Amino acid sequence: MRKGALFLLAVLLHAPAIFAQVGFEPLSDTLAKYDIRTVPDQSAYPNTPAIGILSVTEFRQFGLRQERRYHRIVKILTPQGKRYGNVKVPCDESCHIEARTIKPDGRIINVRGSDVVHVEKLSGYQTPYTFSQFALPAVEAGDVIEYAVTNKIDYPLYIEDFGFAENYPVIKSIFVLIHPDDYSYAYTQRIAAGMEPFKVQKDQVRDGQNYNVRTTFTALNVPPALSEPLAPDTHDGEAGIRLLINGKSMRKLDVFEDWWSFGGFVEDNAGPLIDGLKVKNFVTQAIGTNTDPATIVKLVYQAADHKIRIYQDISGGGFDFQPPEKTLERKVAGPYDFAVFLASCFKSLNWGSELVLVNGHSREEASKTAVFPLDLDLVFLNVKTGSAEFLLDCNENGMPANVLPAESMNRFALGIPLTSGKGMSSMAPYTTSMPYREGNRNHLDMDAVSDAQNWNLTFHWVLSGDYQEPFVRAYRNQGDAEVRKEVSDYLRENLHASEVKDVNYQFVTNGIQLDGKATLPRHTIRGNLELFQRDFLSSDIDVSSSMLEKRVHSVLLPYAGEVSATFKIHPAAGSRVAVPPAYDLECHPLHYAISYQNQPNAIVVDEKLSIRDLLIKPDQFAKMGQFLDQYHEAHSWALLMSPDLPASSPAAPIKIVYATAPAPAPAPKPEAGAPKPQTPATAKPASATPAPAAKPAEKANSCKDARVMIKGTIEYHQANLNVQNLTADTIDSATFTISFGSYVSDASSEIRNTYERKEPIPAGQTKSWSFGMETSFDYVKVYIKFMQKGVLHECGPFWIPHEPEKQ
Amino acid sequence: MIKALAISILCLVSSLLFAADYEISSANHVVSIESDSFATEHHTETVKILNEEGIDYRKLIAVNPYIQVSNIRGTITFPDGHTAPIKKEHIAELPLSGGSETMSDLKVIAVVPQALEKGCSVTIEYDRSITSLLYLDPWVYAGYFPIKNTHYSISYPNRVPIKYVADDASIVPKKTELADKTTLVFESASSGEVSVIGQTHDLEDVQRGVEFVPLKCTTDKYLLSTETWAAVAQWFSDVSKFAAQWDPALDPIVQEAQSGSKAPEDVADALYRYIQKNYAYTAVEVGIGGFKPRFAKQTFGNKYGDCKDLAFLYVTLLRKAGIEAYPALISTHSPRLFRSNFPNPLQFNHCIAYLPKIRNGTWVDCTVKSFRFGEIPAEDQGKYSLIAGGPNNLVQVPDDRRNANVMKITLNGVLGDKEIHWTGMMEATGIPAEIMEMVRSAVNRNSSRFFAIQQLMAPDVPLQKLETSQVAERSMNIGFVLPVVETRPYKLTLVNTIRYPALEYLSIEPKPEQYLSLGSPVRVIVDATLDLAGHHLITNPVNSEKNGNYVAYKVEISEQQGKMHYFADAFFANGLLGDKEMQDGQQELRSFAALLNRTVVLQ
Repeated sequence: MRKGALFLLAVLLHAPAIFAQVGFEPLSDTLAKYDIRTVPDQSAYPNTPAIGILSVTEFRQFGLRQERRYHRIVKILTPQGKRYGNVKVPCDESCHIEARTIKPDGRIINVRGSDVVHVEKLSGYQTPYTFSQFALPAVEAGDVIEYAVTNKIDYPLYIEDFGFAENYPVIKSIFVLIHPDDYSYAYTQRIAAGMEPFKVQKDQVRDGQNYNVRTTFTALNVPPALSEPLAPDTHDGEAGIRLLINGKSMRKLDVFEDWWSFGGFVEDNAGPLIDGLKVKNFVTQAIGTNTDPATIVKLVYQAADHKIRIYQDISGGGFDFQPPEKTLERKVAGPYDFAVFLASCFKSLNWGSELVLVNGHSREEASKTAVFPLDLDLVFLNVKTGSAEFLLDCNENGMPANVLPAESMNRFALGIPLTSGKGMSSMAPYTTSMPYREGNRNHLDMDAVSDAQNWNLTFHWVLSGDYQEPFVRAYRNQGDAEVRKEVSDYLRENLHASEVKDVNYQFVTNGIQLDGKATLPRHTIRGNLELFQRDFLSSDIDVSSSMLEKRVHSVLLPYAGEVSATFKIHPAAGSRVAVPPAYDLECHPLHYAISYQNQPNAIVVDEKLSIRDLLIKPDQFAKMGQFLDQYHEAHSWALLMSPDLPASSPAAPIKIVYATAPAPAPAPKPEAGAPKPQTPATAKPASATPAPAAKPAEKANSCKDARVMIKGTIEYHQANLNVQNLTADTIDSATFTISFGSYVSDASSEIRNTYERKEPIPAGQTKSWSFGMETSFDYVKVYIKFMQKGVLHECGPFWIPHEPEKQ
Repeated sequence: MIKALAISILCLVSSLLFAADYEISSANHVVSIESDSFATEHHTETVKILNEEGIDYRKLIAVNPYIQVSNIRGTITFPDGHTAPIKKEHIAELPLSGGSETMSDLKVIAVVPQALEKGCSVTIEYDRSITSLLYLDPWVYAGYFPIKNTHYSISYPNRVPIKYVADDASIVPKKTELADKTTLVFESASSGEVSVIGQTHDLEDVQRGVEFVPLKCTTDKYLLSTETWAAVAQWFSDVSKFAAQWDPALDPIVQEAQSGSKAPEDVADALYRYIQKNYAYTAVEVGIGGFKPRFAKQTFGNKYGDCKDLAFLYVTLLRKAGIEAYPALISTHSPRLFRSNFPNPLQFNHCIAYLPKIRNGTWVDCTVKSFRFGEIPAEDQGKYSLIAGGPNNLVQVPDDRRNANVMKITLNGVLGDKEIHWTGMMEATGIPAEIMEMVRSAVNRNSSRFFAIQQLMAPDVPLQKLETSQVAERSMNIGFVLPVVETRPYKLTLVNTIRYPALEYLSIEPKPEQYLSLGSPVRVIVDATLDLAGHHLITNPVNSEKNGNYVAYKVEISEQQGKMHYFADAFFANGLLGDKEMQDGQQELRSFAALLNRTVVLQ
């Protein structure tokens, strides 16, 4: 069995085996042993269905195996609490279960073996996992139920993220770790709000000739695990112990000591990468005769994406890797294997690459000091071609290069060099933070013109980044017909209008553009007074302030990016329009602005919501609640129209700042003993890529000897450059080095690519070229090198700013 | 019960792949009945992977102690012509994971071909043997994936005759008789695909095919005849013969129920409340346990049971109290899928009780908690039921779906300068009441608020300061604030923030051969009164009513004595709809939405 698979089992399953066990002790003895003096009744827990009196979980490590015992004593307080009498446990045919109901008068009703439902093996095929189920008998409010389940697992205990919380409150919960004294474990505690720190006790217990170390963690008054809408799928806010092995057979295992050690461990397991003949052939086929690094990276990534199916399982990752040639042969790979396959492809081109492991939002927050490898659940590959770097998403198929999914933005990351490119020095693992990155954009332009009955809508919708992904996937999957279906579904879901027609789509650089027409019935209020409401479009963010009140967990927003719309509404001739107030609201990481402008025969409504982070933490809830109230009020706008309305002009937006972005962190300083942190291409902190001293637009676009002038525009993901030869001689060919820059909070990040163009530029003439990126960008910085009469000229930088969006 | 098997597999499959990711290019099924309780089958199926999503294809074969599957073999043919066998390590027997309240012996064997790519063909064959003829595989000729060519032959000795029913009258088998054996052969080419969408928990199986049932067979030790419904009812009576046996330990329960009024209706009501309060729903469906209830005494001792355990306990208690009562098998699936002229116990998936002498016939479902005596869940209403042990006949349960699942929200508000404070109450019956009971007893104190935000209120409304508190079993207090937007010279405000899930069906594009499983009917009543505080309603008064096939509604908006009255009563029939029905239903929904006037203008 592959080590990865073993690890998968270790993490996901609790496959048990036979374990002889003595019967239950009298309840009073058990409670006395654990110093529990009173059993509560319902008056102490009004409306609580059940209360855990005692939970004991014991993990015992023996050489190559472990044993886990779960012992629960629960008092049922209300008829609704009887549901806790139904128990389902992962188990195989030899696991041991004991369970009983204890009535208030002391009567005991045991679960009979025949009442435990365990489905025997029914075929000659493997049964990798199964479970057993039982229902505690005769359970009524006021009864105590007690059960113990013991499993034996045929692999050692390496890592565990143990949570104390049950579905009901627990008065005393104990976690016991027992292991031979030549093993050792590191642990961190996760304390829930309002709980006291755990009591930790360490002693030795004898097991035959050997001594075992026993560590007992005792938690009192453990709150229940609560399910809350929009909560990240983590133990966020719940009590627990995170265990990591750090010593085995007297040998220190330092791989989990810090991120750098873990990075080194992964690096050792991954390499050395072999770019065998099959991989080289794959690369040759993919790139054809292309020489431009950006194109090559894109072609290799796309070819790998088409050829290899990524299955979303990272549990074995970092421990064992599928050799690249095997990946090519099997055509399936986990994210780590896919990344390593790509790395070997790029190695064949003498380019270096780094594995970038990111702590996604669906895992607990990692930091430099909170080291728990399972928290790094997203895998990227950072490719260094010498002239530029590209971040490739290895977590799922169908993603464009250099697009950072919202799931990974603003999160801790670990970079692990896999290969160094030609002429590049090898590096050590480093930690960094993924930036917020522009690219997820959803912009609607809509014209509304009224006739006698309806509003005739003409729309132009541009979706990029995460928003375009389903369309790209559909196109890859089944081509045009499937995209049309996806477009139709998208419009039906998001545009609640009738007679949607003339719908066309077009893929543009890193996005998709949808155009079409629709109608909306006019809504007369009374006489000639008419209402135009925004409610024909679906919600941009369905989170209300009421959802933030009295909750335990953070809120994970459904997306990060920018949703904007421009509505140009042409009222009936002679009508005047009454508009609600305009707003400009800021509550980091959210910003919303809506404005109204009078234009001849039209009113223009502009609104934009920017979300720069998915995660809203409890300490932000109060301000965020205020913001959301005002946002929903402003966002559900409606216009009144009538010839009888008084003339008015839209007022300037009311600006309200609820919370601003925190000041940027100081530049990271190398830590004593730790390798100097580095950053991948899209993860450059402010210090790594200096922000322009002045606004880029204010920079002079000229070369000091005035040989060329470069001007241009930026449209979403494309820079259109007009290069003017100011000299009297032809420029034969030119090499452009272009930095595509994005503003990130108070800094900027840049991706640099080099392009060679052989078309000559005659004297005094202008030549136009367009250069695209997978992601959108705010500005470009252009350097040009060209030969004239045997002399090499270098000019730049020429700054092309991001154009303000058209009104 | 047993039909859960097909539904569970359906849910599993539908969660994995979408239509037309692959097609069944050929399927061949050979079934040989050996005796009245044993049959062998050989199945061969070739599947073509049509796109990238289809490479997740896996074959799932249901097994339980009555069904043995062996000799699974498979070959993958790649687009370049080379082939590879499916290895044994890529076949696994897996439990079907459900909630802890359902215990079942149903499992699946999953065959997971590796390294598939678009254009691959996968051929899988296997042997299946069954020790109960109730588990004969049906022949599906139009399923969730296109089926190009399919062939099914079933042979049976003349002493074990088989009957069949097809979804299309055009399906006629070739019949051959040789010695004492009859063989039926069915064939179909390019039948296309049918699909169903909706919420997973109420997905209906709309595949088209032919179902086979023996006219007589033995299940465990019980002889089943499927010639008439009465014979099927007799079989169920045999299977459950001792379940309703009286035990003196139950005496105090009946005595307690009779301690107040001795009127049969009151006693039946008291016993129903006793069952609801003291018994948890826990299904143990192992072997014949899918049909055979536990003894009433056993259920009494366990304080839990599944539908038939609880129904039999109730029937036992009623009979002891001198009230005539019978268990009744029922199909909670859409009546359009029920084959009333094809007696077969597998058509039922639930069991309730029938009291013929009370209120001219009362139906009681013992698995629900928030229903009063005489109220039955919408899932049971209008459905086919087989009353066993007495009339032994098939009847349709009365239908009062308009009052089955009702949410009534009564609100009072006072208009302020910038906001309206609304307070009121939500009252519920049926499923909404069950949900309210769940949130009331939830460990999370915020559950009822989250329920109100997510289930009760429309998304994207400017709802503020929402508070809830439970006042009784089927009602909840609710309060919230809505902003009033100054749009000079008027004021605009929302008055109806309630979510109508049916309006979300407008985003579904009806397609031929696609069914929509929309679940239970729901009625929502919003009754709001707003003190206008000296202002006036500018919005035109509305008074409109319509009774459609899919939506019935009444909307009233008026101003009287300084108060605005807003009333919207809407009933959504839901259920299982075909594409044409969905189009008509959407038309009615649009009319309703246009009249709803959620926002009003004041001055």
